[in-house]
Amino acid sequence: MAKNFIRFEQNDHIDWGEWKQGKVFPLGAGELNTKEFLEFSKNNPSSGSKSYSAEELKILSPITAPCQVVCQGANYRQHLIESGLDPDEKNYNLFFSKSDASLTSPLGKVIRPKQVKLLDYEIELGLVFGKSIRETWNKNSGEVSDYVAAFFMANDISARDIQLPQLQWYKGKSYRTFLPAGPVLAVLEPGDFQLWKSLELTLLVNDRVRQHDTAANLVFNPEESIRELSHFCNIEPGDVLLTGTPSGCALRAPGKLLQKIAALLPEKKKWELFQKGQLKRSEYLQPGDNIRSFIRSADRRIDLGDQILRVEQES
Amino acid sequence: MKQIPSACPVRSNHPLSKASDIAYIRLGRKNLKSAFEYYQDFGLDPIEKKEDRILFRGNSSDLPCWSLEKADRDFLIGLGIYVNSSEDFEKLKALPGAEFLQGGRINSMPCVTLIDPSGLPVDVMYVSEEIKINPVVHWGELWNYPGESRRANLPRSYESRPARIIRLGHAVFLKQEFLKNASWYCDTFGMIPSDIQILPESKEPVIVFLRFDQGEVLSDHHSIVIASGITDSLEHCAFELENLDEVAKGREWLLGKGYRSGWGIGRHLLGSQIFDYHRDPSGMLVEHYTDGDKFDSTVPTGVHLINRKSLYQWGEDMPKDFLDTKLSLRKLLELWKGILSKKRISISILMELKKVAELSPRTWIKY
Repeated sequence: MAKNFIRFEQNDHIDWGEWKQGKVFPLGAGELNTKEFLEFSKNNPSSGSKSYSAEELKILSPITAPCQVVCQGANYRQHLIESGLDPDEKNYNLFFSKSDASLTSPLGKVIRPKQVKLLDYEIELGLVFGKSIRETWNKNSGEVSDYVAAFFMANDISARDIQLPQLQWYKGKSYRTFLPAGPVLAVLEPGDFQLWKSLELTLLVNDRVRQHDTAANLVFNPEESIRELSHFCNIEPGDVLLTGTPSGCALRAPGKLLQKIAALLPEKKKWELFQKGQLKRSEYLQPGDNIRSFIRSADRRIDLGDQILRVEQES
Repeated sequence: MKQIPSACPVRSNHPLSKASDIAYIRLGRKNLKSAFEYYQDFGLDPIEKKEDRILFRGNSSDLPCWSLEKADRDFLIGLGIYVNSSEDFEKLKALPGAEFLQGGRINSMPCVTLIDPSGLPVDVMYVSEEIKINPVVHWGELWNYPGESRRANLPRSYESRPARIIRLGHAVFLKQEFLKNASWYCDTFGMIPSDIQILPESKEPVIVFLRFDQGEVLSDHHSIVIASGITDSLEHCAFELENLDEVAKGREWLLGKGYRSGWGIGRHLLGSQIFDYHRDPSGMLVEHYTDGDKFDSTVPTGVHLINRKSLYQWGEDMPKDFLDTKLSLRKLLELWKGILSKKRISISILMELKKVAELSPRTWIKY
């Protein structure tokens, strides 16, 4: 069964710990980055009997920069529909990237930049690579599961008023604090990889369920996505892939008719209308909102922990 | 535009008390005689029989866990809960509207009665662990496992009898106001949502499995379940048995007596227990179960979609009438009364729930 680890800071000292029954058992591993820790964990590190509750520690992202953050868009059917895409017409796997400057603690805050009004949330299952991919997938490449070392939870926070009108996905999704990750790094053991299908993703804003789906409903599954990724991307251990978000985001595409009319408008006018329409939606994150999310299987064989975030306005 | 769903019940940071277990259920019954006979065959042990009240216990305690009381209709009268701390008991006693009974309700323990948001009386008693629990008796049945024959040269003994009930495990309540009632149990008794089920379309929470928070001490995955319903009522109660053999023996005995089965043997998904459902003479569901999940306070809440299939991982086909989705005149009347008394009831949630409950769990079952 997967082993769960947490990266934390205590008295200005960074360490990793095993996460067991709601407690952190420090490993005395020291300040290792994700790649180094994956190596370290292969030697079955043992923890002492001393443990801490999460409240006693500053919990950090188990994914460390520098790393490459590859993301998939529109990868759950219902999310495609509400994003204004026709699932039967969209037949390509959509990849984009996020800056690793956006990585932040899973128990902390998300900062809404001054110029941003349309702040959105996206819970995602993240995969951590444990092995390099430096050539296009071929018959000697082996099993995809050999390349994935761990699972974790990510929130792909997005500024929709930058991402869409400016056509800047990289910027709109990469402000600092836009990638809360963790708390758990679930390091996989043989056979665990296939359990991704049973993972349930849940995101609540102020205790209300906004997103919920099972990873089994991914349009492009991790196996085929990683194989495709190898055609245009080199991967190193510690790099991550975010597999896309289920339906229920704040963003909602205008209806088909409205889109057709908007297509006839000048670009500036079109996005003014978009902004005006979206601002009416009460789903967008506001300062003071609490986001709680978790990814686990119903039988809890894989449990990526609880992410608890508070939205704050940039001062 | 779709509404943002209602909030989910959450564990309270500062509950009024930390209760430890469900104590008893009180039921009104028109026909006490038939109910008395049924619950003996079901496996409960009668400890007091008066003209207007019969008390039963399970094997783990000499205190009553089941009270049948003479009434002009079949209904839920009340619920009993234990707290382990006398301080908690005093705190609850001091609540406005709390009624104190020095001499106890159905046993001789001092009891404070609170009223939950649906109007149900909840009796709270302070009991230290030792008084409540008899040492658990294992009957020491021998099992043969592959490669390990503990029952060498001994055939399995044949014994026809009612199931031996260890204890009352949990009760499932339907409530017109889901969130208000679920939150009340969390805030008043420190209960923790183990799992929540939501509707697929609206993402509205409609079922919450609540366990008692006893810190590091393990609790049943659920002792009280609150579900969204058309009426305020008791959906079923479940009693713990030693093992699967007991569950099956109990079933054989009840079927042999000509009683109606409620479902059949299977294993639940949330809570994991092996279950078997029966119907008492009033038609109410009662469950024999074994091997349920036990959680301490560290296990966080899970959220899952609700549908018929989400009720079991394996088992006999679920009968069409297992989930009561019919709208009787009495239920509609209760609903109307609830609306008139300004309860927060969402008809659209009830309609979505009914729709989901009517979907067949297995493609080969055509209801």
